[in-house]
Amino acid sequence: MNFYLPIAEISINIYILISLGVGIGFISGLFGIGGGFISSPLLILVGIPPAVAVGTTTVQVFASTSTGVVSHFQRKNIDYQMGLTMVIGGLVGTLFGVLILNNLKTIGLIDNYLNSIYIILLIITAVFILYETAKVNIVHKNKKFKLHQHSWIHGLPFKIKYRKSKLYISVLAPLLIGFFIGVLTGLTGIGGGFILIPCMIYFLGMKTISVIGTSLFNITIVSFVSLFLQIYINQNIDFVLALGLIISSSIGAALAARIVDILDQENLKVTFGMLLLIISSFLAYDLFRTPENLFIINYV
Amino acid sequence: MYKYILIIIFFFKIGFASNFSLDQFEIEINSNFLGKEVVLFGNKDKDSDVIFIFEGENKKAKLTTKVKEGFLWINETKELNNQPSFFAIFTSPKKTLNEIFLFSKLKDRHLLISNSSLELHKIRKAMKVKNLYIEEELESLSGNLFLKKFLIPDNISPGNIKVYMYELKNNEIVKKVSKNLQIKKGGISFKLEKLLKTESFIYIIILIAISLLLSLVTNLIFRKK
Repeated sequence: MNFYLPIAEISINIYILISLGVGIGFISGLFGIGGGFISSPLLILVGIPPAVAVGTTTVQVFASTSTGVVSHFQRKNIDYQMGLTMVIGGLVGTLFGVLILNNLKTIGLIDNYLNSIYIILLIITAVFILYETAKVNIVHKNKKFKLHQHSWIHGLPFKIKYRKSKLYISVLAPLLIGFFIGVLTGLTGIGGGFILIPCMIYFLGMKTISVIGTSLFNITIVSFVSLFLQIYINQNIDFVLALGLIISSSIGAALAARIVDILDQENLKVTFGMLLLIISSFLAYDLFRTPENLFIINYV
Repeated sequence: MYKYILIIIFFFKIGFASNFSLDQFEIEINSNFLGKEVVLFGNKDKDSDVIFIFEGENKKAKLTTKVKEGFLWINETKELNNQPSFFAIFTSPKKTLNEIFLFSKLKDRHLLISNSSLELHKIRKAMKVKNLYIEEELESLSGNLFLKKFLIPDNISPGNIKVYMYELKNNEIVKKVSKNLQIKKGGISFKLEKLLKTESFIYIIILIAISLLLSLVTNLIFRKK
């Protein structure tokens, strides 16, 4: 059973969309991520135009993180000072990202660049997760070790106190991290939590308890602004596709929440890392294999 | 089936002057639009050939050619002005594109078949992949009647498709008839697209409100007890 997507201007099988949404939601729920970095490439793989996939993923990211932010607000797990610093960097970054996306769309190189960015991000994240899991379980199994060490980031100027996180670091560090994640949000539609959280823990040295709430706070505001930029600059958000994805991914996330407690967390991390490697290899294969169609026409 | 019987009766009644019609002259793209089958039918003089050309409105387009650089396939993109958004050629008897190129008066009127250049070949091929280019023979019925069923694909752009019938005798165009097939967006698809283009702010506010609501409702329904 197919139905028509008015902005993507193609029809899609409803079962494919539901399976995709439930799958994305299930993975998000299982591994505690927003799922944007999986949904964008998967939507492109099923034939949604890249610009529409990116714009529509931003809606899904906003919807999934905004409910999370409310619960962290109630539990007082958000470092607003740190969050707002990253949001400032993020807003500038997301504007850059949306403009780059618009430029890539105009020159017709969007799929090449987006694919390459997704491949790099997915591989880096997968390697990082697998390395960290191996480090904790094999190398440092019975040792206590520092969560973070002082690096060049802690030597940057303009230091201020972040009272909630008990940190005295340069304002430039969260600004730059926020900017980098903002560029990714505008360019690829992802929330960037899977990069932001390790950066906050390992680079800034934040405590785990406030990391998730603060990252959700940052992602929600940046994706909210990104929604407006995508609409005004790229006009690439498909209402019907977005609603279909939100409903089905919420169901998937709820299903995952019911089984996540009975699964071994370390095995989950390894599975997640492997899953990222599989998705990135599919995307990489797409860049290397001889295309089915050598000529593609797109009407403006 | 009754439709075709009516077609045959209709043309026996109006006589044997070459003419044609479509089973519909307006197609609406709505939320359950999956493409639409159109029936072209008519009659022709027994000594003449006919060529039908369906030409969609000209639009700006981008032609992407995949080029191998090292181990990677990268895109080379060229901007095109005034490319028809749909193109179909139906002939009776069957004619190849090379044969159609011989009719200078015909090819000069239609950009997409104006020459045998590599660029036009690429465009035709790219359109064919998206089912926006068709090149087929008309189906002959009894006497001088003909019929052709074809699909207007779901990725068609809204606008006017000009339908031209050229009647040829001794390789000369002796008659030309043209009609219009209108493709327009309707229902919720049209409203959403209009809202996005004219009232972007309202579009995004509604989208955000519904997204939040749906997210909360599904969380409430499916949350772990």
